[in-house]
Amino acid sequence: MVRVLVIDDSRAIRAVLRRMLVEMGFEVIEAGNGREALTTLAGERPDLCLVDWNMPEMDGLSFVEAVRADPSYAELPLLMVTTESEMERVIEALTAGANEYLMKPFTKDALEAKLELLGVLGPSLA
Amino acid sequence: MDQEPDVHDLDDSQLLEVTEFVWNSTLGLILEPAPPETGSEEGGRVSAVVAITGAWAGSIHLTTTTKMAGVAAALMFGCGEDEVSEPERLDAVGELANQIGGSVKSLLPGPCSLSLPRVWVGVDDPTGAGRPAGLLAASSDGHPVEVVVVEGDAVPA
Repeated sequence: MVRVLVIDDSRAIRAVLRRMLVEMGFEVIEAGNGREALTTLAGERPDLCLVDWNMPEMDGLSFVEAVRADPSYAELPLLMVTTESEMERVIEALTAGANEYLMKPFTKDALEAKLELLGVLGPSLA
Repeated sequence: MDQEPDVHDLDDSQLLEVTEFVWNSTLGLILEPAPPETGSEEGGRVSAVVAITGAWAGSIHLTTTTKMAGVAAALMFGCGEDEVSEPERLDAVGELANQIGGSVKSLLPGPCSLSLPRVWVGVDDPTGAGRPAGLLAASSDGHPVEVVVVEGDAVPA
């Protein structure tokens, strides 16, 4: 089963994402900010991360930069899920190493489409 | 000749559109324009504010009832209204304010940054934060929902 690490400081939006992802057949683990996520990443070895941008302690962009600085995570898909919708921000995140970008608010269909683009959702995996 | 101030107002339909989309996408609830609340509904209020800094400076204020906050939290956490805690109600309203703030920010001049939401039990009074630049009085599931956009450098109290 594909393991997804959901990183967001809002427990409410983590619960929304967890429900959608479980319905799609994923196993979900959670972290409340980038720093906590780095620790979780090392211990749990997820197959994919969903990353919010604005979080306390360590924001999503810093998390993406830290992950991409470690060669052992070079292939780990990172999907930004954030209210930051300006094109400059999207480019900044993709340049830092995020693979895809989903803007809040989102629908389950939109999330599913992004996961398909990342190649983690499909007949063989779902 | 005096130069006109650089004022960016949101019209009612823009604010309704972004708030409606947040409400519908995240909660699956309908949000409709409604007369401003009178404060007569029982159960108190929950308020949240997010600040925007950068090319445009101001804040987005969301206020609703404790009951609506409970409905939102129950929908987001996938449980019954009687099962949600106060921190969960505040978390849900904070996330809704964050999403509305992000959507409003996309309508304003950029680049801008969005703060983390600040949420509390009680009524908000955004009048001291700056110049009103948008107001939405709405209703969802029978509960009042108010969004106020304020332009100004003042840090929301």
